[in-house]
Amino acid sequence: MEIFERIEDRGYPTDYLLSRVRSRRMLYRNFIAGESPVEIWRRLLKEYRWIYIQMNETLRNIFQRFFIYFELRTIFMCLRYKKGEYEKIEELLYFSLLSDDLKELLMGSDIMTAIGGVGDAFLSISDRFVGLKETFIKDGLRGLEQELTNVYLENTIDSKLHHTIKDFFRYIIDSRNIIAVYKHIRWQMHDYPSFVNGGSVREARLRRIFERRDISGITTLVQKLTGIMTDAGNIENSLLKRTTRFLRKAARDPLCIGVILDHLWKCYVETIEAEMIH
Amino acid sequence: MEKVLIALAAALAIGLTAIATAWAQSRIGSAGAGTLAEKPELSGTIIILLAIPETMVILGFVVATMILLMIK
Repeated sequence: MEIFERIEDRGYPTDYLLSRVRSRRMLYRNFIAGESPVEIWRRLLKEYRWIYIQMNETLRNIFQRFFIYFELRTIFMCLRYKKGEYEKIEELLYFSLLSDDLKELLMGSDIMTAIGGVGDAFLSISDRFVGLKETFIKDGLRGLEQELTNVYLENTIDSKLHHTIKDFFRYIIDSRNIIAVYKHIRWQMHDYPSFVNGGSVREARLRRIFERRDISGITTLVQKLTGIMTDAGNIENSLLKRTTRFLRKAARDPLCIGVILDHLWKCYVETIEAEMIH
Repeated sequence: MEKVLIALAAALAIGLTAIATAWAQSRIGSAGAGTLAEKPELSGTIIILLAIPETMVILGFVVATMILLMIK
């Protein structure tokens, strides 16, 4: 089973899309809005779908891992809405880039079949995705979400990627790992957080911070990474700013894919802000 | 032999500039199409930008003509 829908390549040159996205970045601000989380996420997916359709095959290959990463959240939202809110699932999947087979399974009534289908689809990328059903039975939906995202990120960072996309995923992994340590300390959990390999911060350092239950160690680390004075309540925001700053810098080269990546990320940040207001 | 070299020089003068113009115009053209799709009011600017590389091939043509006139 395939993860993504097959959309015909219209053959638009890369320069065309770079230029179009650059204009779009300047023209539209705060255009991701909505009344509900479903509507907000749907608006983001609509923009992502539009950009994906405009891409030629080369660009699609470069950005595929990025789009799949964000479609993971669509999958998780669909699975969460399986407790009777089927109209929301249909609404969510309308602009999704997921394949028709996968959409059909996600819209179906049986959660185990849907998870099985998701597992089969991801097995086409790597055999690291084996055992998702067992994870769901053992740890529930939250455990499944964590496992699938972590394995996906590890698999992505190990694969051959464009250097800007690779750096972007490294930033994402760092953010996830640091936030995981922070939450585990704050909620006084005794188990080690499950770290994702491939970030720029070594796992040993994160483990040390966790063992010492050292919140100030996390803020020092975040300050060092971001260059922003951070307090414990602002860690997530600082890490988001770090990624935003990296992508803004990448977008300064007008002929580089950083322009597209920056726009996609900007839309995502707007989505987070819209969800917080909601 | 001299005539052959002069003709070759003229061919290179027009040929290379034509290739450079074509390459530049293809990129400016596609980028311009992208900009126009979002901002149609910029059509005048895009046409001017698209015409700028044309000067290369015109100059190439002038140089090639001057070289060929040297044969006589």
